[in-house]
Amino acid sequence: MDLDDSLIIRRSVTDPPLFAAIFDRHFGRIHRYLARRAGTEAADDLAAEVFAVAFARRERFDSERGEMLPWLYGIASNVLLADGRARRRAVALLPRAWQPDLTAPFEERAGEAIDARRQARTLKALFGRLSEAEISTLLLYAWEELTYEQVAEALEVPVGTVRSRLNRIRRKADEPLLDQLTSTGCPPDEPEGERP
Amino acid sequence: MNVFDRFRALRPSTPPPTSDVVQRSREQLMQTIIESTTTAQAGHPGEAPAAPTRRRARAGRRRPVLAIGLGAGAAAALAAFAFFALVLAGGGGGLAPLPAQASAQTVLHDAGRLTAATAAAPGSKPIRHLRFRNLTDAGAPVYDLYVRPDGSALVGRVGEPLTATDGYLTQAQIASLPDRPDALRQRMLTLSGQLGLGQPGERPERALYRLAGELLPDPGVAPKVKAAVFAVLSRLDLDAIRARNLGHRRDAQGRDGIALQFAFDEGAVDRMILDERTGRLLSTVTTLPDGARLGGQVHLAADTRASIPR
Repeated sequence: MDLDDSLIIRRSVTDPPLFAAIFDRHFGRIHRYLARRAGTEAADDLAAEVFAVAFARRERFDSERGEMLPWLYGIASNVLLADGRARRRAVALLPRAWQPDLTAPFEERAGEAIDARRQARTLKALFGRLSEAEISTLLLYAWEELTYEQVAEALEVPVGTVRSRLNRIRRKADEPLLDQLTSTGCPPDEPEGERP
Repeated sequence: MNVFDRFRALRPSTPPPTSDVVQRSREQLMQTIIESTTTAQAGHPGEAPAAPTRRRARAGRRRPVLAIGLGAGAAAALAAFAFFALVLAGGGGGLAPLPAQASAQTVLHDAGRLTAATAAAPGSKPIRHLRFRNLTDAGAPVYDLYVRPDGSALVGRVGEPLTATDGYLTQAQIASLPDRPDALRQRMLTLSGQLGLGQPGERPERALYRLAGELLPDPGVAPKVKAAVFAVLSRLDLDAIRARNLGHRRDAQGRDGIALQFAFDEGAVDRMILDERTGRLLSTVTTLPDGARLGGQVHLAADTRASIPR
């Protein structure tokens, strides 16, 4: 457990500016995770949102749970989910305590949406249709290299659930295709415009 | 290498955030911190408490309603039974309007009673249509939303082209909603999680409240289920979420109703305005503690249709 993080959080409850140290330590890593999933441009906004949420909720962080980073990953995964739904809906139907930027016309987000769809197609080709929870589990484990326990903490599920999800994903993997992609480094060739 | 090691090789290489992005984001965070500190110092309602609080320390406490002097558990059970009996009886005691000066729990009870007695039966046509004013958008424009049975939808400002979207409740999900409050609460907690209506660190009840805001105006939801939604809300820990009956208020359309206010978490206040004659949900709005509006919806019309207009 990172004692420094938990000490900073505890003190920031009564001395809020101390929270900036959490930002300084973890912003880069959270930004990288969001950039891998949603693109760099989206990550620039979403990462800031993650730390705004974390600051607002810092009193609810139980320092005895463990490290701060899994908690931040969990917030990031939910921010991604909320942003994804906000993009699919043409209007903001539900007010939030913070405001996602929905003023940009949907078509301006097409560039990021294309990359996201390509990634979604790759995932689907490799592992079949995955739920949002399974995608988060997979990427936190494989790409962010969190342990089972850290993934469980981030997603607020039991460790056993993380193990069973990963086992299920592993059984579904198209290994010949994975080998092909790994050797070529290219995503599968699929027609543009197809819904993932 | 195992599957995940090989999948890791496909991990996209992403550049670190630029110094401009880091600086801008840090400045935004510091501004948020400064504002929160200023709010707390001003003694504004809704400020964060000075001492750390435990998460949901009062979960499980129930407010005795009908049986003063009984234990809280028995009182809650009696209250629930009495409420449900009233709902099943179709509003026994007449159709008195919502009270302007009673507790929030009483208003929710009565709203369920009125809804069971007056709400329209679910439409039989496959497309659910809602017209609403969206307070989150600048200028609060009016939208038409057409939801298909599979949860996909078309939405657009009145008179303008419709855009495809999805993520709404399916016909099957609506049809399977139980009308018993305990079972409905569990189902709503599950659905609100699936729909992504909650945020980390929030009370789960807030996601449930948001889902209630979707179910109550939906023309596909049966009156008994809508009544049970009010029952579910009435059983929240209303003290913990600082539920209040604000009495008569006008919504953004100028319609008068009875307003209930909830503060699920620090930093935001949720308010719903109900038609005092029918219990119908007129509007929902979320504001900051200083009253600045974050967003919301004003419900104008709801029906079912055979098809989506071209």
